[in-house]
Amino acid sequence: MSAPAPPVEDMIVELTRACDHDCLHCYNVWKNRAPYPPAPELGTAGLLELLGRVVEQEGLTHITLSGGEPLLRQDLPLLVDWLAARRLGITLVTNGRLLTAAAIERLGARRVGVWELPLLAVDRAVHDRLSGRAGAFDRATEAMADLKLAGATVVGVFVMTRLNLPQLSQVMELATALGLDGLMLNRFNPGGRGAEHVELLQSSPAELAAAFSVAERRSAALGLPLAVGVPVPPCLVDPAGLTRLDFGACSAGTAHAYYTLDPGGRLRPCNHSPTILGDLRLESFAALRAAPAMQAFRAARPALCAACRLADSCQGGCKAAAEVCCGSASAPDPFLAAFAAQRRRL
Amino acid sequence: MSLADALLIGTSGALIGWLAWRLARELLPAPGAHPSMPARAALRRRLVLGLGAWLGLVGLNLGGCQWLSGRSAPPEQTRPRVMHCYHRTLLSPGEGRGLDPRTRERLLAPPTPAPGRGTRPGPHCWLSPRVLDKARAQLLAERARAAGVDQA
Repeated sequence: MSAPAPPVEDMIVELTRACDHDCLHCYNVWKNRAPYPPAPELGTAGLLELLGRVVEQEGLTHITLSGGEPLLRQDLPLLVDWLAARRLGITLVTNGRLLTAAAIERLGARRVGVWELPLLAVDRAVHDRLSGRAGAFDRATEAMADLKLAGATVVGVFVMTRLNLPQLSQVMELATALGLDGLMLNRFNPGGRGAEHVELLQSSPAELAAAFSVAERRSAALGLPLAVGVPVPPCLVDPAGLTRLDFGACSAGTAHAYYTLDPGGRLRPCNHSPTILGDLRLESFAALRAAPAMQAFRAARPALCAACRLADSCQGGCKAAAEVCCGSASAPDPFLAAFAAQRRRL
Repeated sequence: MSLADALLIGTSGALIGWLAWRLARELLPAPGAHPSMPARAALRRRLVLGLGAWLGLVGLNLGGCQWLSGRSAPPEQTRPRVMHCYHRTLLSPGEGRGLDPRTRERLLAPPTPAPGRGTRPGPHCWLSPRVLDKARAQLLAERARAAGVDQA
């Protein structure tokens, strides 16, 4: 058995299951086909008591507030106050629909370190279709403009799907025009509601490789920083030459992990994984990091990758997507499984 | 496990086994017998040669030995690193920086139709007029702030 997972500095907190959008690509675990065990959402006092204990025990320095849609929590300004008072870095992931100039002022544009909003297309019909709600594009872009006016740091998220990939170059221009501080390029990663739309949304390795090349070139021309937020198996998309994109492998179980607290107080290895390590109200973070379920998640490797010399660093892509789509973290990432015949020998 | 690793482990096992067997034979002779000086010298020679061969194999394996594996080690760039939370990489100073403010000015400028080709699509046709105005206002504010800093 390997050593227990080390302490971490970051954690994602899913504040609520509720959302006012219905994204085609949504990976929220409670939208998985396999039922996610229900639990009542923590109230303000319960959540703050739990966070206080975890921050102290684990030495966290940064919290990402997510959902669902976190702005649907009425106590969000209070939670941000609490985190800011403890000098914790804050990232807020929101679809921007409720992020009016007044809401930004209430929350404090600069108290939140990074605001993360979707920028899925330049064509509002495509952005709205992916978001599952009319008006999503106009609201997100206006929130971005208001945030920049208020001096905030804003990152756009472009989920790479077959529907919007042809617009990537223009989206990068739009991000630059809006003054965004960076753009995340996340390949579509099946999970939650997204797992129902694989045929519609999944791009091929060749399409992704072409898009990454465009992104590399345009990033240099525009001076727009980019990051890749979902592991891309190098046997399917060759990262050589893509020096401006920040590729990486799954960090679950490492010091860079982003364990995720669900709205009911349960801890998971990451935001995509449906594996519940345990209840943080009842057990310490350290105990859950050392839990057998976490050890098993860390050790999981697809048999498909057994002969690959990069298997241990790459880990075969996203194990959480494998869990959701194939029932096991040791199964191949669905992207890898779908295009296994196209793998390069490394 | 790679082919090179498997070969290394297999060869190491065989060498260690053979050396242990020779050592046992020389050091634990039959009762009453004494190992001769030439036999001891031969044993020393075999030990040195065996260890040398084994260390050589380790070196070849660590160096990504081409003739063992049939291919060279992948370049550093293709080795996935552990993914960091993006706020630590995307927003840290690095290669991605260097936005020329004139690029943004150009993108937000009113469209100028090229003769016979119409207007190139851009933020002016993607954003609602209200959002476009806000983006321009923010750019102006940023320029004013930068000018203020320059003057100070």
